[in-house]
Amino acid sequence: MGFGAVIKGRIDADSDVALVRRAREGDYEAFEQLFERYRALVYRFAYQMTSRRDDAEDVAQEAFVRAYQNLHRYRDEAKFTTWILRIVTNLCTDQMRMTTRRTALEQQEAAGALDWMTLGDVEDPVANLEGDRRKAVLRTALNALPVHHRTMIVLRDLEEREYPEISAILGCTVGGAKLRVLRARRALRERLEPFFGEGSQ
Amino acid sequence: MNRKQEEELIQQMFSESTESESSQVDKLKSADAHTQVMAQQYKQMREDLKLTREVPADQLSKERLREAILKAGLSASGPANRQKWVWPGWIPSLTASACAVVGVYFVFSHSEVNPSPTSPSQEIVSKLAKQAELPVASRFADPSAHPLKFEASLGGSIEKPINPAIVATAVPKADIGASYGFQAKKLKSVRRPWSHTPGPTLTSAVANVDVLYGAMSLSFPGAALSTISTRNGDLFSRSGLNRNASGGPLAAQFKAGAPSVSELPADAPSKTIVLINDGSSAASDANQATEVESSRNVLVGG
Repeated sequence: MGFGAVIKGRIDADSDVALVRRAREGDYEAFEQLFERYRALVYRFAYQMTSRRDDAEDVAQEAFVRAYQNLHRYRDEAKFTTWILRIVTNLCTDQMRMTTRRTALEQQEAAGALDWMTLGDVEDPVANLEGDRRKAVLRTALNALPVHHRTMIVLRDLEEREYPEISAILGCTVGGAKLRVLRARRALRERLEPFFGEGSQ
Repeated sequence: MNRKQEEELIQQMFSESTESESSQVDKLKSADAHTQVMAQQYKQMREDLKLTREVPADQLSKERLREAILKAGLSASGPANRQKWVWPGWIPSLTASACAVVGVYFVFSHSEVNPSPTSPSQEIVSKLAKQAELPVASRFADPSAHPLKFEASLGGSIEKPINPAIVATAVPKADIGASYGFQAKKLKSVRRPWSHTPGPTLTSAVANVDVLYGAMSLSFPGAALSTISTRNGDLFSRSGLNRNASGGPLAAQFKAGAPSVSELPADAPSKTIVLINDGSSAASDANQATEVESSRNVLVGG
């Protein structure tokens, strides 16, 4: 057996498909390897969708729990990242819908408190720099978008996923994914329109 | 600027347009000031989106995930406990239900009374009666005189003869041929245990039918009956005999209009016969005798 074959076997053994197969057979360590490999990706996507660290952690954790419970439904021909991001997308969508049912007062109070606690490291209210202000405005506008628009912005413009993968995650065609992204960008610009040029003035 | 032009502008600002599309958008921007403003806004939006990619560090860990998985439960849906092929639990119940339905349909379809007087069952009955020289036909010729009838047919064979609760073993030697006068009160019935396997013979069956018909007509419907069966199967349909009917574990199920044995032909030779009864004369202390005209009233067996 040559060196190339050894390397190839090692790669195959460490591939997502191999890890999923081992996890299916009861090897929990294989699933932990998948968790370590993709937890940052999942958390980042969840954070972009929820804009709150604790919510993002909960969503990411729940996504991996569901992935583990439904490993038998995972098809090997699909990418594991696509599959896990699809789970996260669904979880975030469910959470957004639950959030919109809250009363306006509760939403304001919870958002304000959590923003102060969770986003304090990134968005320092004291050092209200121009960059932070623009980020805060964009974050607010992004959160105000409908969840389907927000998903497209996050997938394409924040996570920089390719259109074929986006279409696989959302279960639509590539052309449909492009169209959705265009509409989401237009909706976001309309939200941000009153604030454009505010800093320059 | 229409929607299509705006979409082309967006694609250009996010570097997703082709060269030809980009050139068209450039022309449009140079001609329209509003398009220029919009292009500027999209450009700023894209830069802001890049700024928002930063996320705070997470506090996820393997231990936390393990705890969450344990809390959620490694249920049947988990990969470790999942079977490759799950046995559908509804199949046995569905099969049992289907068997029950088929069984019920089979029983009811075979328990239907065939009103045809030339039914095979009746032919067999008459044939057997001829062989045994025990015609039972003309006794029940007048259905109005005997309001109670029971069904008689060969409903099918049985593997195990029915153990009668009450089997008439003693056939009245006297009073039988005397104008169809049944002496049901003289019947001696012996209760046999259920473990008695041999069934009554054909002769005894016919005799029991005769005697018990008299008993029924004299007493009440649903009186206890003996089993009418041969070694190969029922002589009379089991549908006419219902163990659970009132009057005992084996009682007659009466049905008006059902074909009876009275319709069977009776062509047995008639001879004068002297029958000796059980009772004795008080004067001579000798057994009493009865003279009958036909042998068809003489019942043998029991």
